Amino acid sequence: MNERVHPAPVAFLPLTLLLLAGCQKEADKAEWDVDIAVPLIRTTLTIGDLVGDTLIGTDGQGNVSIIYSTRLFDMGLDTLMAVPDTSFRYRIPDFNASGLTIYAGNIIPAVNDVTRFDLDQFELRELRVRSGSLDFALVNRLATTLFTELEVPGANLNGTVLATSIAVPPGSAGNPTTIAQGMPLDGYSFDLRGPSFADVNTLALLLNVRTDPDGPDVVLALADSVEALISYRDIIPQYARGYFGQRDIDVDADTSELNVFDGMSGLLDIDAVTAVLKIRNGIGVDARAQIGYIRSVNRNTGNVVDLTHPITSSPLNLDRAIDLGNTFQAATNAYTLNTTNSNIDDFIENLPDAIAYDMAVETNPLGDVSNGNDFFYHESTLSADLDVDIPLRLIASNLALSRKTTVELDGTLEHHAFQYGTLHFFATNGFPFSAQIVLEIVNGDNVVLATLPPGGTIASGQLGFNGLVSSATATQLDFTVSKEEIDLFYPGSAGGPDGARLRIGVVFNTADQSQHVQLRSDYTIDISASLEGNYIVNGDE
Amino acid sequence: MAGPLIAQVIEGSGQQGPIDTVDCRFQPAVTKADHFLRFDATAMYDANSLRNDLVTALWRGGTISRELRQRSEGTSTRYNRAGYVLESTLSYAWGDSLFGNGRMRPRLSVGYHDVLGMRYADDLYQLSFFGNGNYENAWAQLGPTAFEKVRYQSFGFGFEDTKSRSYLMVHLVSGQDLTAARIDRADLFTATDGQYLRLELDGNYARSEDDGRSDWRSRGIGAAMSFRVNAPLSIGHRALAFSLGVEDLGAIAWNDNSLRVPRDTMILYEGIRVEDVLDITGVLVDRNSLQDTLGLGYEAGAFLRPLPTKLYASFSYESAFAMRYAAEADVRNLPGYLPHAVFSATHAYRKNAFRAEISFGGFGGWRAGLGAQRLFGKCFTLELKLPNVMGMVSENARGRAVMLGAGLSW
Repeated sequence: MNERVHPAPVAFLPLTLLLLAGCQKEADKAEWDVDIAVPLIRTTLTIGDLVGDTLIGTDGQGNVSIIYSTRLFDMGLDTLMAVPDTSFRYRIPDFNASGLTIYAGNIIPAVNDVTRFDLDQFELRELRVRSGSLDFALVNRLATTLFTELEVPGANLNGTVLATSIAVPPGSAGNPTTIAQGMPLDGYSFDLRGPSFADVNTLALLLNVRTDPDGPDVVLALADSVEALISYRDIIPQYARGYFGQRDIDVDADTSELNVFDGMSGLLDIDAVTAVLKIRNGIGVDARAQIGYIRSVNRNTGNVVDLTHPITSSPLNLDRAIDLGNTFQAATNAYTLNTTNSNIDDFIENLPDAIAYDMAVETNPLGDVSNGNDFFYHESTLSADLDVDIPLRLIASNLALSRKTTVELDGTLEHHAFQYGTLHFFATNGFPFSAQIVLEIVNGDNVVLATLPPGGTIASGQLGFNGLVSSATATQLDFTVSKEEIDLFYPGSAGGPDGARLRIGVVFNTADQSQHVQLRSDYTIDISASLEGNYIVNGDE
Repeated sequence: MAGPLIAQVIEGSGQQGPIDTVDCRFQPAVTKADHFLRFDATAMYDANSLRNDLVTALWRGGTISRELRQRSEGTSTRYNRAGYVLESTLSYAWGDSLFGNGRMRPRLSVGYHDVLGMRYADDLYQLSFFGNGNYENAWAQLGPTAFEKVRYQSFGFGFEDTKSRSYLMVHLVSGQDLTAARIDRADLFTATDGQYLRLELDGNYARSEDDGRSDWRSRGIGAAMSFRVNAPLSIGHRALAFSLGVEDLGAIAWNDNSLRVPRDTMILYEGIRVEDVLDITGVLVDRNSLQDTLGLGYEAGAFLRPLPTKLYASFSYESAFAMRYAAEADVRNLPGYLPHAVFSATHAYRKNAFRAEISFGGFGGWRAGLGAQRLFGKCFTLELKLPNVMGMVSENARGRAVMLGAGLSW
């Protein structure tokens, strides 16, 4: 870590350093207190620094807006559909062939089966596998080697049918031989229409078994039958097409966190606000959504404001996505909310830290209108976003912003250099609002341990006749801090095991409380800070 | 008996410099000696305003009270001075000829030198020990100020005159540590409430490589020469002696990693520019960042710097009643070191000699000193000098010094 020093002693202690270099013992360095008056920091803040650059938008006239987007919910494929693991067990032959002699090199009557997957209400005609496997095991109780061929005619990878063959060494009734093989299905496309091409969720399977031509003739006994076990396991679809049925999907009531108003309280009166609720349907199915509620939740005040707009009182018909072959184009259904068609201004002025919602979705409300061509891709989701644009033309009345910060001071509780002093802040304010500054020392439970006096208010910039700031205003604020208060920042003090934190509270009031004032991108506030205090040379060592 | 011993004392008294010789020529039993071994050590600090109680407190550590610091505030009308000398030298001369020349003999020496000298303005002391709080809306004149601290070892070889003991030597010098600053002008203005600082600076700063490794590592190589000319005179039957000498006349070339900051500039410091005023951690910065902000970044590179050369001269007169009187003067190439003059009287009694002296200059002012020397056997002497007696016993005085010498010849 870099050596951290305070600017003042560096600037003012050359002689001391020289003397120490020549005269001092290594341990137990000499200490003495000095009265310092030094500049600390300077900065220029814009509205982007106060609100956050990523949230700020500016129009051609320099007027500033807060623009943010929050996702209310995002429903993925796992909510819609899951392909269960499916296993099939076959006896070969699948009839009672006790006493039947199988000559060397002959075929045992085997399996030609059509299997049907249980996929709830989904009637799939096509399934492309993103990942998964087909496990194939054969049990041989005959005294000859069996050559087995497995084929799934409806499954292919780039035109090649899914097929495999295995040889199973001789076994016996008491000691059967089992050979298992796993085949990855990644990328395979399943035609689930079955052999007739008219079914759904159906897949044909062929299994041929032949005895070793160089082996002995064998006689089938009841217990000597050959067994095959076939399992489809961990199938994750990449794409599915068919009819998805009429389903009711309940989007559980939930809340979405919102940090744009973090630490703010007080009264904010905004002149205008526009919000757009975008419901994006990435699934190839018609849907109808019923929004139970969308709520602005301010946990600090306990206030809840329900959004009132036609979207919360009547169902929303959501268009289906378009299948582009290997990808899709989601359908976006947008609903604009403004101060004339909703209470979105009240919704925002509640300074929410969360948005709560409750919604239900019905698929294919009109039935199979796609004629079995509903689809989804692995990436398909049904999501809702709320995009908000708040032009910063507002009235702020005791709008408070609070932030806590760790004060990193060198030294220890028992031994530290900075003793006491006064922090001076010099502000030249070009914003059309005043800012009352309060510095508080708080512990981990946010209990105020001390408030640094006297503090004060940074005066607002002067407004011109057009409601814009015509000249900046200079203000000086002072905060005194005692040694006892400095001690609180050190671990192990009354400030707590990790030391106290500094909570900086700013209360904004716009210059004109009767009309909205416009914030502009070129407004700035210049702030510099200096320190007058008592400092112990070598006090941190 | 008294006469020869006085001669030894006088020849060996170089006030704050090494006591160079134990000469047995005056003792019949060892007139033929041709081996001369000598060890001298000096530990001295002095100042014209810093009192011993402050220096002691700095050395001991712990809290230094404001009252104690106030007692050492500057008293001079021009500038304050301070410094120290820690030196030891072992020299050896032997034989009765050099390359067939019967008037010369070879001479070797090794020496350790750690010296510091500085002169500083009152305002610099005020700022250092009391801060700039009392200078709000006012200028502090921190210059002219100069400082030099250098530590080095020397390895010398040469020859000396077998009769007068005059010598000439050259030294290979290993420089270990250097810190030096010369500030011709440094005017600091502190705005009200410390809103800004304005420094008008004309000066330079240099230091040896800052490698964080052993203090004994060599960080510079140099060369130097030393000589001393002893000229015995006589007026009637009274013996006179005149000496003139130079020590460490040379320079050290400090290595490529040495650092310098030359500046003639005006610095306006309004604090560190930060992006977020709410981020208090931005107030604290590391030393390098602050130097860059002030435009005081180091420049690395080798440079040549002269050694703290010492020039000295002495004149002695042997009087009746086993007394010898001497006037000595020296000057060092160190900031804050003024020409230094010593007037001494030495009385010999049997195998002992006692010396009283008064001096002025150097890093301090008027000083009174005492010394004693004893001859053991025929040619082994021990000498102890306290050039600043008051400083040794009083915390209210300024400076302390002790000098030890031992010589053996055979």
